[in-house]
Amino acid sequence: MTSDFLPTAGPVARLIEEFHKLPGIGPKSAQRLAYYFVRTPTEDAQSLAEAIIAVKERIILCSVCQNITEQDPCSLCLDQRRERNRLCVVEEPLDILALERTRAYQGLYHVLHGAISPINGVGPEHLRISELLRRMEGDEVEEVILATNPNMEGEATAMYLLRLLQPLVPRITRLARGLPAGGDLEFADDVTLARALEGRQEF
Amino acid sequence: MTSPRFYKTEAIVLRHVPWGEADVILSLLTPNLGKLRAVARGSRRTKSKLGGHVEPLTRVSLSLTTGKGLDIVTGAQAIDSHRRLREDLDLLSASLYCTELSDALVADEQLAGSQYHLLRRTLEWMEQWASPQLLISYFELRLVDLSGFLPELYHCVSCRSEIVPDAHAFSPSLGGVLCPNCYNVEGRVIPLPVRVLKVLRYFLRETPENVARLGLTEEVSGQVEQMLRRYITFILERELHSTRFLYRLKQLRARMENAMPQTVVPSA
Ligand SMILES: [Zn+2]
Ligand SMILES: [Zn+2]
Repeated sequence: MTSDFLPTAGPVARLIEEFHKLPGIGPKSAQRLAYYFVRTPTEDAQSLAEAIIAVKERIILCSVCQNITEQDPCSLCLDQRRERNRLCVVEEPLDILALERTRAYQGLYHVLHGAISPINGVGPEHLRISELLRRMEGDEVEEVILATNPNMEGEATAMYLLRLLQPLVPRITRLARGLPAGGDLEFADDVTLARALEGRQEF
Repeated sequence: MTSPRFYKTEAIVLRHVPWGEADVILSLLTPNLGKLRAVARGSRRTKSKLGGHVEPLTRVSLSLTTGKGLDIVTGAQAIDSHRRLREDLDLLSASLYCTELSDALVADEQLAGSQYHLLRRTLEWMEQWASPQLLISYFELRLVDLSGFLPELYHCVSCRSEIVPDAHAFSPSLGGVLCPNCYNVEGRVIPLPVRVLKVLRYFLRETPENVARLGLTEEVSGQVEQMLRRYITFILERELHSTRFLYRLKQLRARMENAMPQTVVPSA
């Protein structure tokens, strides 16, 4: 069977169009996914559709840390065992999951929902920065950890926040940047290598 | 179908856009191949061999192969990562503006050797010049010149009479100076004080080393900036994204200065 014989009108065409809008899905993948659902049992398709609707209907942003949650405030913000004087700023909700997996951090979080990208037209006004500033009112927060990505956008965001927060917080730190575990020294770029050298520790 | 072709080139990374799970689409300016777009596969993964070598502003030596769609980066070695620019917010935003302007003014299929050379030198100067704003203005005028939009600064664009020191205007749509007699032939003009005109002529006449030493008052520097910004907005028929961020930083600086006069330590 070649694709020439498949009807691409009506509902199938619409589904291809919807998949094509998703991040990272090109026209070919969109087609493949659409035809996959043509063959899939109705229950499976139903279950996927319901999962998508549930996300949109039940998931909200925590009014404190802006993380995605079903209840407001979220469970992390409500957890009294966590250190309330330390705040870790991340770009995306998924970054919280990554940091939580390390079990090395006991403080609170703040999600920006993006990073400053001057060329792509993403400015500070598009991020959850005013919500972050509001959390600096009162003297509870003693340290802000800037855990944005170690790329140009993440660095720009961290530098911008540093400028903004410096008068408001006693201590601002940035995640150490250097060589990734399992990485190969010879493939590292010079910025990463230089930073790894500067951040070297007693052995 | 043609078989894949391998080639190497030097390039400056103008822009990177995340694509798919871990890929990045790069916009590149090259000395001999004009503007290129290519995919750096997996470069967003922490362990990627490409990642740190293809960040925006980086001058990089690339190996590529032609693909069905975009060309694919198979190897990358940074020649100059411009660490200083990436670790100073003001220099970073100024540099990103310069790369975005290059991207906008160089057409897709155009050879752009001299534009490449200008951008390359500008990113190097950005680490050295005392005033990023002076460099931005200088870069803007040189780049519009290389792109065929050199403004007429010596004769009135309406009556062709020679410009003598007086109250002139600049017309973005006519692409040059208007003498006092012709000030009103065009609706949208920008007042052009003699001092500003002199600075622009100096940019075109002098070596970059001399321009770098130019000490402009904030007022003149602001007028030069405004005039070039409006001319470029007219040429591009839009405003560049990164100008908004430049403006934001300026606002933030002003606000910080006003908010905390008590933190200024008086010199002993
Ligand atoms: Zn929360
Ligand atoms: Zn005239």
